[in-house]
Amino acid sequence: MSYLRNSRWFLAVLAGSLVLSSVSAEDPSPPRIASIRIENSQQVLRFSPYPAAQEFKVLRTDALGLPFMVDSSGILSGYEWKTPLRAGTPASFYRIQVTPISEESLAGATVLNRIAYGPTPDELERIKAIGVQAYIDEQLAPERIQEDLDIDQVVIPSGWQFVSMTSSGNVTPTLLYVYLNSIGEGYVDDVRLVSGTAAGVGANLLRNGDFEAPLNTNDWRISANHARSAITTQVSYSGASSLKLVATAPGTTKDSSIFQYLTNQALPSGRYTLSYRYLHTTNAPSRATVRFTGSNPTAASAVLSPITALTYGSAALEDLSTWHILHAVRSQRQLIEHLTHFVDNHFVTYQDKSEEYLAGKVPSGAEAAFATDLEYRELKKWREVLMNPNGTFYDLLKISAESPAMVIYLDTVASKKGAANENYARELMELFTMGVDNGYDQKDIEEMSRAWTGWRVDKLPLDQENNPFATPIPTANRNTTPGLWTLSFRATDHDTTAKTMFPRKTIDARFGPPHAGNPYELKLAARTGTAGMQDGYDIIKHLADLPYTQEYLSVKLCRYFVHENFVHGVYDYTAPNLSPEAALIRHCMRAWDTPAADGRKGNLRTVLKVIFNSPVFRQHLASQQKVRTPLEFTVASVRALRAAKPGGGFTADCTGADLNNTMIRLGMRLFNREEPDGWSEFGADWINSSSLIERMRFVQERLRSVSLADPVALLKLKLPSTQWRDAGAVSDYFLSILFPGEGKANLDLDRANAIIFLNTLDNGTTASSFSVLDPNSTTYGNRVKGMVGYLMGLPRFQEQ
Amino acid sequence: MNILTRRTFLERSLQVALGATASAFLNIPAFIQRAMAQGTIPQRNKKILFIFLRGGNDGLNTIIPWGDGAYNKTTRPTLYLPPPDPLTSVSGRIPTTPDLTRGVDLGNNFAAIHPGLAVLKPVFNDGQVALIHRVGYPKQSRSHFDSQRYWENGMPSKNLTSSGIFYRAIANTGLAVGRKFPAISLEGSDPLLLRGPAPLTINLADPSRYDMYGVAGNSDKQKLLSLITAEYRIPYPEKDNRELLFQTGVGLKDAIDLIKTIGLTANSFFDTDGTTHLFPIDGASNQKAFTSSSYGYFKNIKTAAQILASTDAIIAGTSLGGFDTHNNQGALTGGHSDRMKWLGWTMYALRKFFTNVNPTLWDDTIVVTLSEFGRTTKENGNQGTDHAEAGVMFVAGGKVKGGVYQCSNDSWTVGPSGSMFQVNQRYLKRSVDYRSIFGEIIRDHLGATPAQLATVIPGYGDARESLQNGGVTLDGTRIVGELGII
Repeated sequence: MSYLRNSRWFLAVLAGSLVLSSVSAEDPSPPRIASIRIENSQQVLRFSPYPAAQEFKVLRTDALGLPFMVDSSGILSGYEWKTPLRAGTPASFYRIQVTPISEESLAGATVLNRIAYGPTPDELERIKAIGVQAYIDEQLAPERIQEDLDIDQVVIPSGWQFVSMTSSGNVTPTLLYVYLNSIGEGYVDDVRLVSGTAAGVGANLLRNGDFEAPLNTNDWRISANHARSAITTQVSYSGASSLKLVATAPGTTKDSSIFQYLTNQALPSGRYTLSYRYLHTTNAPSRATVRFTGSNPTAASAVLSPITALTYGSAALEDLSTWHILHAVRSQRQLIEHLTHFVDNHFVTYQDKSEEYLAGKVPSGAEAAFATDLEYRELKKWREVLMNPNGTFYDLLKISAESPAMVIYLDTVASKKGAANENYARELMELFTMGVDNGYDQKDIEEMSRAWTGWRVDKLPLDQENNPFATPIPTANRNTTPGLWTLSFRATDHDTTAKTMFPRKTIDARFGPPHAGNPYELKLAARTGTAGMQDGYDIIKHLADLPYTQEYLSVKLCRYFVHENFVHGVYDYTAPNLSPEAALIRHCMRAWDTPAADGRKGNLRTVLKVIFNSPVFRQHLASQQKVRTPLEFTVASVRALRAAKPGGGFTADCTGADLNNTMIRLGMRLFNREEPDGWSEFGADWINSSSLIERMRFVQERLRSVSLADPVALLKLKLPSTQWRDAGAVSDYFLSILFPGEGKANLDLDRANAIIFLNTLDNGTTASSFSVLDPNSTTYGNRVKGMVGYLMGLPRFQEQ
Repeated sequence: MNILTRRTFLERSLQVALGATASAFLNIPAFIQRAMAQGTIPQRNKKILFIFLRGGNDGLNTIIPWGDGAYNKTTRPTLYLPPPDPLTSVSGRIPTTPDLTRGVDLGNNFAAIHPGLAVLKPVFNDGQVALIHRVGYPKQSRSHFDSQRYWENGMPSKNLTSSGIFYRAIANTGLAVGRKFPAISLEGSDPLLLRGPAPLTINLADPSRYDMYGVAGNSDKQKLLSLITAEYRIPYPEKDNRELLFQTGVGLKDAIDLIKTIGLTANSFFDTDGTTHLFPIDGASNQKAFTSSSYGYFKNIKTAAQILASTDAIIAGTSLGGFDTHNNQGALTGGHSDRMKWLGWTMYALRKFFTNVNPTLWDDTIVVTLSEFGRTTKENGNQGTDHAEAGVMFVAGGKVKGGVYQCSNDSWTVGPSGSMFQVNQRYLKRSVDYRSIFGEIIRDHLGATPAQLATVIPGYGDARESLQNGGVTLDGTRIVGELGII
């Protein structure tokens, strides 16, 4: 097996030429003719590909003194032009003329792939209509985009729900549980167990299932975590009473539920059906479960929507991931979704570790919900900053430093005087502000670690949740006193001595004026008591706007939005001929240094504007140069086929959980990365043969279900019915929406393969004409879906 | 000028810096191509299985220098592992029934191993595993990401390289040429160790999903696969990642077909008692009673072993995490101890597996562990240890010259200003460079020539680095050079 990629012959007969409205220094060089050969009495001309080529034309002259004219005598296919050999004529001279796609189209494709999570058919049309600049400006002011997504509506279902489930196959009932799935409350009434498959039909084999009699250990027994449950007459579904379930810890099995033995009845094996009525409370909603031991059957009440579970602190991590993913798919405010992800991936925290820390401190079984809550709260705060035109990097950094998830993750939570833990100090400089080895050394890390001692996480009373000096709720009372797990400062553990960071250091000469040569030493005086917490705040204030930080963050933003090859710690900004990359970083840094309307430096939108208005971003240096991470790939796969249907709904959608599962398979667990360096922005870290196969499987699986992806509905919406059976037109449409930045000429051979696909049976070999298929038939549907699955399995679809 | 992507430009500059020829850019040095045409490259059947212990394995509790009085309960209040009792010996062997509440004697009157590793006994006593201490590199980084990168790219302090030492070991020697799967990765994303300009690696973390799904039911799987893979031969305008994407896809169909024939889901490999599974990947196969968090790791080890045994793959490997023990590291029990048990069993099981397939296969195999650094000599305030300097490496195989290296009376300075405190008064100082160990493996096990080795490990023959013959390095540290373990 040869690893040589298709070689590019460097024999040029003549250089190609360009047709462009304007030529910039960064334009690629024109396509070169690689060879002219005689093959089978044909003259075959081969030339090199050209980025974003819309059309190639072959020009010919028979004498160099005469002008080149278009030669349409031959057949152009991909990068090959064949023409019959004209015997008896002298050799001619050839040139390749390329018409690239317009600058607006090129920039539009890049913008929708970087500022948005991939184009949708509708967004492609819209950006063509309003123009790239208008789209960028719109996205940079998300607070002005009116939006009311259903995924943001907190909904506690009202009214009594009916829940039932029949056993699969025969079972012998022995024991039945009723419990809440999370800390919270809910009303249960009319619990029935009947023989047979019809809910509620027949004698109720449970005792006191309607809760009209007082609870008695002969019927319902109550485990400790449901001890506060009681019969109530406040609400009921039928009769006068119902059971108010109150759980102080999640229920899972007998010892964490309300249960009833059925063994005294010697019930025979058979089919049985459970049913009950369930009513949410409004202050602490929770799901309920009624089931047999052995879980067959299990009758679980309806899931609370992710945002509802998140708001009431009972969410699983999947809820947070789902909510995050659905925003990326559905929101109009695409840029802010990218920025939220960027920030979360920059100030990395690790939900598993919070769970581990909280074990034994929160009710058993609820660790995951509490840990998810910590992730959600920092995410919410960052989103508020990003929605604010005055938001700065310092604002984001402060939220991270104060986040209990961070205090736990980098071990500050146990760091104390005499035994300072270096982890946070190191990563704060290495990963969150200055960048590795960019202006600090090991001694600075050791000094700085002492400053963070005493920062803790504890449960504070509800009205004291923003006061880290408040006395935490005593351990013995934790599970019974309302409060919030949040940042707390333990002055007795703080190292009160003076600290000096960056002693005698000055900003590197390479930064040039105005910063080069300036000292940036930070001296913290000895501080006792609660004043010691100021150490940490002084540090982040100092780090937030250092040139090193400006550089590193600008590099990270450019790696995220532009292309992979930006580096920190290397560029000499005083040099005369800066590379486009170094120049862009310098420009970003200057923007950072420019005070915004509120007088503060580090305004995020000021820096982003520089990036999005840069020719590096808008032209070839950025176009299609990156690889889609698992998040970007799965979301873009949904969006690529997602157009609004006139009657409501879309031609493609997802549950969010489905994307999350694929992302986990591809190695990306949102909010749960063990290493603090965040998910990689480099293609080489994501692409190998198995991840490619996994991505193809994801696309193919979705295409099997019209509720997830319906390319047939999409093409019927966008193409006139006369073209529905035209393999060329159908291929052209999908190529144009899936690869908007590639150029029709570069997709020529892919188009040929797509047409072959449409005209071949599933066995891959027998011809079967697409033009005679009934557009309402399964065969037609499979053919189109297969072709789209093929296109979305191509290497280009992995690009961003 | 053609629009060179910046990555290829960097790669090209690197090649120039390494003194390679222009066609080395295409991954097969011209002189190798010529040699192959003349049939003078030995197509040897050597294998390497690597395990990266991610997080920084605490070497001092893995190979315990009990002979150094400074390793004591004051230095490590909760992490201290007592010396063997009785202190038998200079037999060079692990005793028959070691006391598993103490360090297990290695028979050199100085060192012991964590009792979790006692299962290594037959491998060690047959002289087939080298336990190497004090392994590091100059200007050691204490950053996980940097230090892992240096271990993986074989170039300490070079952040910008994007190819791995094992990649170059099989690419620059021509060993990769003509093989279906030169290298296999068994972790979430391919490690830098196996990355380079050409995708020589496939990832088999979940072998059953290594196939198309199909759109029209299952019936069009082949159609999709054939057309998709045909696509990868079409020319394209260069983009930063496009070459990687196209190259990765080109061999997809062949790879899928081959994997199907091997049958990677089988787990019927047993110890001599016929009932203990060599690879505990689920409850049913866990006769060793390891915690279930080991199942994923052992599944990867099993797949790696199967692939190496059944195909022409040269290198396979995986990672084991959880070594970043800043908190509650544990001595006889806990996270570190669990991992010692898994590691010991891995070596034992792999020897059994390879020998069962073919007696000479174990002779042709090397199992090697890596870890980005060792940990602080003194315990921290959280019953754990922090990032430090030199650590340990295990090298096992049928032809390895086993034993304890660099943890003995004559290679270790004892006391409070001894080896364990010689860097910043906190960290164990290195006496072996990890590159010396790799150098031996790549040259004497895989068969690289010294010239090829110099392109795989730049500076290997440079006298100032002292990697081959030992000496005092540029930072004033004396290192021993190659240990002679192959």
